[in-house]
Amino acid sequence: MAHWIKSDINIDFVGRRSKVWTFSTIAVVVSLSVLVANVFIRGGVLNFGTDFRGGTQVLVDFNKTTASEDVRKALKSGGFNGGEVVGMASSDKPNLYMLRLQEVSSFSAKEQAAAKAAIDKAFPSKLDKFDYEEGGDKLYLKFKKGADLGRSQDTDVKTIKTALVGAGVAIQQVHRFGRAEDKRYEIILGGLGIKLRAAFETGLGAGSVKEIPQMESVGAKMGAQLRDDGIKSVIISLLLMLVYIAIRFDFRYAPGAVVALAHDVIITIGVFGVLWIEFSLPVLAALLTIAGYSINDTIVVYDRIRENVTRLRDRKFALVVNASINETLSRTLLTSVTTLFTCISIWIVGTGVLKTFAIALTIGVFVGTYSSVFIASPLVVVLNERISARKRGGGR
Amino acid sequence: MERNWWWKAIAVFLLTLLSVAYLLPTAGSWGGFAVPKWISERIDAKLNLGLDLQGGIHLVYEVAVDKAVEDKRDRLASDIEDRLTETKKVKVTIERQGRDDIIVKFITPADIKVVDKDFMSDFQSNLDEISRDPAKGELRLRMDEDYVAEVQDYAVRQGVETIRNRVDQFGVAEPSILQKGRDIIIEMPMENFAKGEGEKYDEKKVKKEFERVKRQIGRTAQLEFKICDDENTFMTEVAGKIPADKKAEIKIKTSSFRKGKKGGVAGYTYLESSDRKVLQKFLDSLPSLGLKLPKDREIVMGEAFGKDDKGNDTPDKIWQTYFLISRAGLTGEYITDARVNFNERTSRPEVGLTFDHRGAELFGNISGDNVGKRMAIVLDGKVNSAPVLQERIGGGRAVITLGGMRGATEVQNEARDLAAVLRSGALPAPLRKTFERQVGPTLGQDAVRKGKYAFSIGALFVILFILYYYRGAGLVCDLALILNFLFIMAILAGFGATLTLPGIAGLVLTIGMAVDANVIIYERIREEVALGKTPRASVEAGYSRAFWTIFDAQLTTAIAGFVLLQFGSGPIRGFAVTLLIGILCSIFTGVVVTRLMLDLVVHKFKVKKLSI
Repeated sequence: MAHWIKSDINIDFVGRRSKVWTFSTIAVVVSLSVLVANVFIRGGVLNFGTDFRGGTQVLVDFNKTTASEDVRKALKSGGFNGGEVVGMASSDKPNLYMLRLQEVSSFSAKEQAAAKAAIDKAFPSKLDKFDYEEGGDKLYLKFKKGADLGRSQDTDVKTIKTALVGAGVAIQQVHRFGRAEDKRYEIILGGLGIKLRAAFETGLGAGSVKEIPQMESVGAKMGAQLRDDGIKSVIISLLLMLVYIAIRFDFRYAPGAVVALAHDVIITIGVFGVLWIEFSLPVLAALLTIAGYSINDTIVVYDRIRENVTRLRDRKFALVVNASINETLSRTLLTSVTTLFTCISIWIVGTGVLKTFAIALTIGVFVGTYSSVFIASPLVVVLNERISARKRGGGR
Repeated sequence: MERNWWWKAIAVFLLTLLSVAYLLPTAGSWGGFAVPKWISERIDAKLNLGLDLQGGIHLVYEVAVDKAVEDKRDRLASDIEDRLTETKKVKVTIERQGRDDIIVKFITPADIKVVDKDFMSDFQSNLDEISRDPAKGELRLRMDEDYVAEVQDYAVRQGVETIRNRVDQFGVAEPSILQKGRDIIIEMPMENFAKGEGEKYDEKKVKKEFERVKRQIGRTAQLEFKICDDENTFMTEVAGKIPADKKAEIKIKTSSFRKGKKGGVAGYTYLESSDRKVLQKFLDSLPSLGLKLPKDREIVMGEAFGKDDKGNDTPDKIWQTYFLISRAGLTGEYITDARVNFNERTSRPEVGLTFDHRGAELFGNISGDNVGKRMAIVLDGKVNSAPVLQERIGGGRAVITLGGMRGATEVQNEARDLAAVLRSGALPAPLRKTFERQVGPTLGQDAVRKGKYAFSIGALFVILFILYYYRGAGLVCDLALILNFLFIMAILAGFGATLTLPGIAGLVLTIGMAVDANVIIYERIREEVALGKTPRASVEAGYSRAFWTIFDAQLTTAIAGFVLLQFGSGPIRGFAVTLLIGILCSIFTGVVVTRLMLDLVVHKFKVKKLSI
């Protein structure tokens, strides 16, 4: 039989709260200021993944050893507008790189201008509308009403095609769109993957790309929506938890739990800010799980406090709280240990998404365990004292 | 107590059997063994691998509804212009403002009076008059709000339908197409691209397939009805220009048809070739051969079946030319429905078309003006067929009969394709891609392998640790943990859920957190034992006191799970689902199942000292 925590343990958590709180306050302040500092130093609050900021994330596996500098060069000469190149080499894929590009489609501003000029040249002063939206993979052309373009629409399509190809635009298909007299054409542009492959074939030699295992592009609008949904979900779940605790326990308990929760979430985000680890959708899911876990921990202690308050009526509240923390301490630690086992095993084995997910969880479980012992419960004592003091003052 | 225990034990046992049964189809398909028939006949739900695990393509398109509204407005504007200049014979200039407004400026301000109630009644449900300035001769019209909403709604619905039609045409199985607001989410897992089970995927081929799928989906179909100008002799002139060396490839053909009820036969000349490119090249070279196409005419190609000497269809596909009047009298957007019917008289399939109000009017006029002529159905610049207009077709319904002497199934297929074409031709709004994820075939396999590995390591650690810490009671907890995992997987499989990468993480995490319920209970029991209670009383007290703690604690985690389910997308939802099901099963196994086993120990075996 193993007993890590002796049953008669009695550590004064409540009494030592001020020192611990100073430490926590510093940690929170540092986390927040890192986020602010990041804006100036690294050009963004967090290392947001493509799913939040829009753009394209590609995994490329090369056939031969390739320096990241060469990858960057090939990208640049292929017309890509900068972007990050991150080595992701593992034993079975020694030449794997992750590219994060700003482009969502293959149609850069420069190409747009070139395309427009080419169309203008092919159909002098007949172009009415040149319609291209950021993130779209299509281009719309509208010619002036009554403009006689050519002999038949097939020739028009051909002329447009020739003009665009001549301007260096990768296209897949050109066809008329809408009524014939509307003189509108829809052009489906070449995919980013095709362009990327072409950039590497020319920049690094034919056959240099082994495969492109994953490609993900998120339009700016979609990114913003995902981000808003994420923020919304964190706030909503915090509120719901607060309401639940206020109903199940007492309004005095709720602030402590939520402060502890916010503390955990902020510090975890802070670590992501300091280490500049990619903050993506799965990390957000991890944050919410951390919130759930931290509350879970806190509630077990609160439950014991509630039970002990009725059992030990004659004792001071602060002592009751402290006793409750001590009584549940072994459970708190044990659960944290088993959860950490699993988190760390994902961390070590996993790659990519799973790894960042596990990193967030591991940090969160550590901080969450700490906060439910040192912050959530002692805060209840402070709040209780304040409220009792006011009641006494009011009675006088 | 005794009886109760037995009932519960039997219930748990049956649940376990049921879970195993529900997991068999999944295990069978993953492990590659045959599942007994009597099970597979009853249970066919399987746990599927998400896109991130098996590879595939995930696309989100937004229907550009505002563009649809703008297009409608533009059309209404040109309609008004036509009516004013052609019917009312007044001179106007039309301006378009924003998305919804049309400004009509009368050159002679007094002409504004022609726009009266009677004139506007044709646009009653479409346009509202916002302001009228008789002095300046300026009239501002705006699209009706309800009508705008209708156009938008229709655009999205059509978008979904069109994509569904097109995706079905690829012959790939069960792509999932979801509509979320104005977004259309398409997921096509890798298995849909597979030729056979367990076959290796060629990465380059898969990439090509992805591109093909994207191109097909992203395409905006355009359907038009155009009149064939068969009386014109231009095509004979064209035929005369065929170079000598091409005469073998491009054949000059003539054909004829009966001109409706009044009788008379019309003949026409067309060109035909089995090679589209050869024909196209020749047509493109016409200007250089000194032949200019008449104004408002075009030559469009279409695919058809060749004919033998007796005029019967041959199985070979050939390309032929159609000489058309460029102006499309009617476009696909006026079609509300197209379906395959059976003609009772000839018992052959035909395609029935339904037009909306404006479409019925337009179609009536066109068919009336062109009785005895052929009308070409042109989809995306290719003639699909060109039936003869026998009479004026009013009432907004038209029937396309399919000619030829081919087999019934072939005609049936052709009818179905034409109906799909006519329906998808009605797509009024372009699609805009907002999200794309392509996962190649190898990445997912790698992730599954690593996920299994992480799961095994984590679970093994937890099981050994609990066994070390709680000994006998730890064994009970471990057994419950295994049952827990079985239940979770069975529920996931039973619902036919999709396992994603974050879902696996959720599963691993659940195993770590599942023991929490037992830790809470066991710590409590230890306390009770320390107070000097008997094993029986300690177990009793431990469970009854711990239950609400467990409930409260797990419920708050569940709140986070529910919120994720509500706001999350794709893989995140997978995580939320496993987390929620995990919580449910953890409470059940942690509280009910372990209790059963511990009760057995303290009641039946009446142990003096608990191994805890």
